[in-house]
Amino acid sequence: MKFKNLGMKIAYLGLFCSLTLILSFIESTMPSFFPIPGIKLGFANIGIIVVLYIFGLPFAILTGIIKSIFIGIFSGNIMSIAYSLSASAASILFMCFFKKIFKNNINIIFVSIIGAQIHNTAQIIAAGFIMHSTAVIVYLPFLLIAAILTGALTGFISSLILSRLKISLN
Amino acid sequence: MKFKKGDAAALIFSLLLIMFSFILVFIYTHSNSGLNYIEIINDKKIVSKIYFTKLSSEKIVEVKTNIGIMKIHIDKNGAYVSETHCNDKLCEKFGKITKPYQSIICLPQKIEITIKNENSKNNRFDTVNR
Repeated sequence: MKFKNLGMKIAYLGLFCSLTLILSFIESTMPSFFPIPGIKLGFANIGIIVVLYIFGLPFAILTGIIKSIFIGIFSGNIMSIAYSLSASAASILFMCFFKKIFKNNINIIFVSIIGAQIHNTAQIIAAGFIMHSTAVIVYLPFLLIAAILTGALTGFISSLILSRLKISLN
Repeated sequence: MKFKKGDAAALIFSLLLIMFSFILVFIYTHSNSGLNYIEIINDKKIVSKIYFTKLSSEKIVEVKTNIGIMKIHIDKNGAYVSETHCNDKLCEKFGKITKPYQSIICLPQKIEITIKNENSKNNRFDTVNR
């Protein structure tokens, strides 16, 4: 995707950063649809996928960092920055890896599923380190199975956003 | 939406991840994580320490308290209080404890019966999350 000038690029990047922040803030106020605590839809991933597809890896990482820090400050839970940063970074790297290898041969939905699963795995590993306990690993299979559903949903929504954006930006 | 080559790879990757996590959980739950034992504390002093998992028959421990004698049944699965002389009889009603860090506590008689694990002697909690 090409932009007319730097200003437009910065404006769009800011827009997606705020989209990510607002989505994850709205999500934190919504009640959970799932009986298992810790499972959420992960709407914040929509913004990150869109940034990854339009602007590439460095800006996606930047958005991830901004999202993690600001959500930590918004929610007043500073420890969540550590969980969120590691998870975002890992999931963005894996999504970018799959996107780079298969280029046009992979649907956004599956990239999103990989992102959601890696996000959960990284978060469990971070929780294990922070709590000095390996007991959290029992939680992982449930999270990974749920990640297929939630990842597919966010991937589907981001593919809709991307298809509309490509029309309006070109 | 067409199913593409990369999708199959992503799907295989995610299924492998799920399988791997199940294997990890299997290893975690089946690993020998130290013996469990029952600790009976009477007025802040440890009265007895019983490795109950090796018991072949039921064992009755009698503890002399400030009110009377408390009878604690211990078998290879866990422990429960069968007889006590205080008014509430909360410890009797509590039932059987079977898992680490479960405990029966009687405040009036100052008795505490806890299942503990050898590997985490100094650690009374799995984790504390702030």
